[in-house]
Amino acid sequence: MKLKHLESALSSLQREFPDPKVDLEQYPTSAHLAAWVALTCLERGDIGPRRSVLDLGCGTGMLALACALVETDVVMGVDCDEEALQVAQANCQELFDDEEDTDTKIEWILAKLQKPPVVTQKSTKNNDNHKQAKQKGGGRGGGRGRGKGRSSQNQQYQHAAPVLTNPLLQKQKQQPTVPTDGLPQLHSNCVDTVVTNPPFGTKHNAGMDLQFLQTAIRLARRAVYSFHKTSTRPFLVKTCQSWGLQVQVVAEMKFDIPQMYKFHKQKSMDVQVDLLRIEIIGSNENDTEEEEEERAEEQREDGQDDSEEEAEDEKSEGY
Amino acid sequence: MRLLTHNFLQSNVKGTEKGYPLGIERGAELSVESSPVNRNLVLKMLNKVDYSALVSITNNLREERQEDIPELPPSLPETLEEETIANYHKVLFDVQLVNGFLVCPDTGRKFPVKDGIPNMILHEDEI
Repeated sequence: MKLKHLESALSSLQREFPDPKVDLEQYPTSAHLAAWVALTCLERGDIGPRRSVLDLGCGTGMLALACALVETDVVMGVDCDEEALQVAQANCQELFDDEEDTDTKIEWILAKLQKPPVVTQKSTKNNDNHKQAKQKGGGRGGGRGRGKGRSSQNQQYQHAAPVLTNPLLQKQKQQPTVPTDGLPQLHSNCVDTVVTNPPFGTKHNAGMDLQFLQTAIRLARRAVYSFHKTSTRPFLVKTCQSWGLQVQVVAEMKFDIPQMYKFHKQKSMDVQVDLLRIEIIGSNENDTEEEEEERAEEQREDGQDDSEEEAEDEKSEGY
Repeated sequence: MRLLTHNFLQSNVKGTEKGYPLGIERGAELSVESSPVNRNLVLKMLNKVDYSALVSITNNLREERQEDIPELPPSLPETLEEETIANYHKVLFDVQLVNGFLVCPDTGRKFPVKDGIPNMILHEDEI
């Protein structure tokens, strides 16, 4: 499918949030961006036929539905805003009027990531806390410790999960146990690919971007695509490398953040944003050679070259 | 909400040890579709799901909707007949929980499902 077709299919949908909530950093995703991201993931074999994808923080479902339009087998959209999910569901019905319009299995889940336990100015402090936690024998360390603990002792137990644990360690556990990261209700490894346009961790959300990323990595078997402010790139790359994961900057772009909330002084603001792709180790184990060949075959038939050209345009245009 | 998603969900309410698998409260509104069998998807997903949880929820739902929901083998057979694959497809993708409650096996906390969307959000004091 070509970019313009995908974009045009998405453009009729409602991308605005019915009741934008500032603490969730909700901004509409353009049809153009969603279409382009889906084609970029498709080109790398991370979504499309025989793949499952989860959109973490899907909002009104633009990215999730773009993934559905390129015939991904299973698409899950997770968000903590019920009204936004209802819009996503309505969007989904508009796109796929009948069940017969698509073979994609689309699921919406209302769930919320817990806020990161520590709000510090220097990210390295998290590391220190993590070490302390280990010395105490795990369990409850790593939390607010000496910090500005506002919560009660009880809450501290629950929030005590260190932010910077290697998500892959949790992947190795076979039996479902309650994970200690942000989205405990979904099993590790449950989808091939996670796409996420997380809160950028500004205002009251410090550390939320990393929390989304960590959860995304835990849920994915194959790859994670995540948007981040370019200014945080060195830190994120370093963090992912410390988990033993390879990070690739797939695209650099400008997000036009419109004036939506009261605290916005300017009409709109451009923010430099990276689209990162994080490769999950051992991700190819899941595919038999046969599957890979079939996929390659399909991709040749699809004539997927045009998305690459468009990608180039994208970088210069910005958003 | 499909049973595939049910298989991935667990409860993490305060006091939960495992929180898995979630029950489905009796009397829930289900819809059972008949989508074309996607053999590859079924085979791939069978490797990803918790099989015993899938069988137990299927058996529970069959108590009320025996005519619509096929019976699954208690353990994953070594060779799969086409008919069995079709049954797995039906259970994983066609049986949908429209309205009702998911129930945490440890604490009894109910997670409402409304118009097919499960609400897994906890209150502040449950975290």
